[in-house]
Amino acid sequence: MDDAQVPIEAFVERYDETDSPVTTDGFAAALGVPREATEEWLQKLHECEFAAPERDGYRPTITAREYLALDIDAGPVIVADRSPDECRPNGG
Amino acid sequence: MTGQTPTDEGTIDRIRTDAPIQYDPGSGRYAIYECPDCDNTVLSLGTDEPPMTCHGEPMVPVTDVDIEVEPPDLREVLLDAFGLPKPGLDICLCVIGDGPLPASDVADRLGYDRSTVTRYLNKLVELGLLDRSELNREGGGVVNVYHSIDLERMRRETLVGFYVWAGEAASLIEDANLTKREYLEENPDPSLPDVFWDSFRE
Repeated sequence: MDDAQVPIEAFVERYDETDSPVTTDGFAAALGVPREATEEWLQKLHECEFAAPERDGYRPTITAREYLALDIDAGPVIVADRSPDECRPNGG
Repeated sequence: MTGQTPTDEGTIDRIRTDAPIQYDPGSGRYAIYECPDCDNTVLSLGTDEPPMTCHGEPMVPVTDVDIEVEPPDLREVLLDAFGLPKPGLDICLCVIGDGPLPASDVADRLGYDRSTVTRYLNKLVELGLLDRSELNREGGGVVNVYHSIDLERMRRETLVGFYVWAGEAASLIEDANLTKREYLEENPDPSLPDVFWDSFRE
């Protein structure tokens, strides 16, 4: 797995398979990556509103599931903007 | 190398230090063909199999270019052809290879205001270089997620778009040459006075 890309799908799958919050240590063990990587990934997912804190870990948000439903396979070029208004196209 | 002095987000003063381009039709990167019977000239990025034809005959590859041609600068090309200034290109390059990134992170990395980042993300969507999806937020409202379009589609769109720009640019040069020819036909004096250039101000 490319450490530069946050595995959104793997995060959602882990939550659904274990039916419990995804923790930094558990996620790292499942993926076979350093704890530091999953700690950063989960934080990024949270900042992008793809993950919400739940007990000792994180759960996928509706936003994350809607994103996966888009079935985008064109690469990791993603920027999630939180504002509901400032992103309207100029003049539209 | 090219020295560049950004004057504002829309222009770049270029200090031309690069050597002129040495056109190499055998490089495989691109080739230029012309018809020996008419003035049809073609730029090709693909392989020439089967060869392009004109008037039923294979077009002839151009092997010599007498006029000096300056090497293009990607940022100038994107600005001139698509109206994409430096911040837009910076954002494209910033997000490639990472994801997802909050807009605030992109703004911090590039030293832009978050509103600037958002404005250029929308510009990239308008240009067809990114897609935008509106997703529901659990707390209410929506989140705009900007993501890459299909890479093959991006390749085609940017290439065709640039060809449109190049075609318009070539037409400008053709018009200028025709104007010059018409002027010389009406004024046989081989030296062109400065007043000739006033025609381009119209």
